[in-house]
Parts: sequence; structure tokens; C-alpha cells
Amino acid sequence: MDLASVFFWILSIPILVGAICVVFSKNPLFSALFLVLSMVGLGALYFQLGAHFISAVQIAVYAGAVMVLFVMVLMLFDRKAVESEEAAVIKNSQFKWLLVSVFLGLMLGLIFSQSFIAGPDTILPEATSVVSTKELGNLLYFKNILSFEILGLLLLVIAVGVVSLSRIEGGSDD
Amino acid sequence: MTDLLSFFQVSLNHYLALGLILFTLGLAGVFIRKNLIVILMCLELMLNAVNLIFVAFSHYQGIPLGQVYVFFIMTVAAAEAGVGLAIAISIYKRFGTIKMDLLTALKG
Repeated sequence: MDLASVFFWILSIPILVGAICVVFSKNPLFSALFLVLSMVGLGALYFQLGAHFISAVQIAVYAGAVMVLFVMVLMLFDRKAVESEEAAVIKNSQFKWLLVSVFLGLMLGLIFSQSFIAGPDTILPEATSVVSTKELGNLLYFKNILSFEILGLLLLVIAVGVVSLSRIEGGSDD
Repeated sequence: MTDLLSFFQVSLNHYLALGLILFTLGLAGVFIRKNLIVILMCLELMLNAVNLIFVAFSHYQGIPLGQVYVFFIMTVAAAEAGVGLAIAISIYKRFGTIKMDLLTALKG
């Protein structure tokens, strides 16, 4: 077993445990914290896969900014409004579980019934598969500059839209 | 014994399976949870699973373009979280709760 396998099997434990706890914990605050655990594990996995810059962005943006946003919005709500009785919901949804497990089984069978890489010998050596930040920046700013600019426009629209959405007056006046 | 060792030897399929399990957990969370904030978190989980699959393919096939798409997905995911939380705030202001079984007017 090489180092990549050891990293994968060690990191997959916090990732999966975090994801399971996100789905099943009753307190949404715990869900947010377990989501941070899952995100940090994924960031470490990206680092191991040679995507160093993506890993840093994952930690900074997801485990930092997005989760702070979630926790802050949770703090805005009344605790009683947020904490609902979820146990009955989880128990009474056999059909949804059946649907989800059929999906999982089909896709897992599909993945393991065919190998996307012919064998271990076709895998590129580790040193060449590390994507440097310079290479990534060249790809981002020269080859994909149009998508990049469109994303900037999207972020502008989102920033304005979020402010105007959250300023909508409440009350049931229909 | 060699079969077991070759199973533990990580290949692209392992990353795909991990991403798929993460995606399915997120999907299950979107289906069964009623809390809007937790539903948004599960959406983030699904997007992260897709990101993992992108990075794994990019690594194993030596094509760095996949990581550029991961950037785009991350940006869109952050924007989606912002809009979703703003919608959650306005739902809370209007109804006083964020349980999703309240909003079934479009069920038909």
C-alpha cells in the first residue's frame, strides 16, 4: 500500500462521518460544525491529489467563509423555530430511503463494473500530476477568461440580489 | 489476501465511490430533512462530492482543466448559499419558521 492509499483511507473516515452527522444531527449548529469537518477532510484529500491551490481555496472559502455565513444566519433565527422534531421525519421516509439506496447501488455498480483507467500502470507519476498555481492561473486567466468574467458578473448580481431579497418586508399581507 | 490488498490500493474508482457516497448522503439529506438551513448544507455536500470527482479525474488523467471547473463550481456554490440564506431569512420573517413542510402550495 502506498502513501496515497493510506491518506485516502484515513481521510475518508472524517469525511464520511462528518457527512453522516450533517444529515442526522438534530441541532443545525452541529450539522454546520460537522460540515466543516467534512470540508477540511476534502481539502486534505485535494492536497493529496496534487491540487494544492484548490485545497487552500476549499479551506478558506468553504470551511471559512461559507460556514461562517451558515452559522451567522442560524444565530439570526429563534432556536425553537430552527430545532424541529426531525426523528419522526427520518423514521417515516422509507420510500425516500429506498429511492436513495437504489440510486447508490446502481451508480456504485456502474463505477465498479468498469475501470475508467486500464490499470495502475497507466496512472501518471505523482510528480507530474501536481498542478502548480501558475499553470492554473494561466488556464483561468487566458483560456477561460470569458467564463471568469461571467462569474464576476454573476457574483455582482448575486450580491445585489441577496441584499434586496433579505430586505423584503415580512408579514402575511396577501 | 492479494485481492484484499488490491482493494485497499487506491485507484480512481475509489475516489468516484467516495464522491458518490457523499453525493447520495447529501441527496438523502435534501429528501428527508425539513429544516431549510440543513437542506442548504446538504446541497453544499452534493456540490463538494462533484468537486471531489472533478479533482480525481483531473489528477488521474493529467488534465488540469478539471481544477478550473472546480473553481467555477465553488463560486456558484458560494453564490447559491448566499441566495438560499437570504430566501431563508425572508421566509422566516414571513412565516416565523423555516420548516419546509410549511411551503407545500406548489404540490399540485
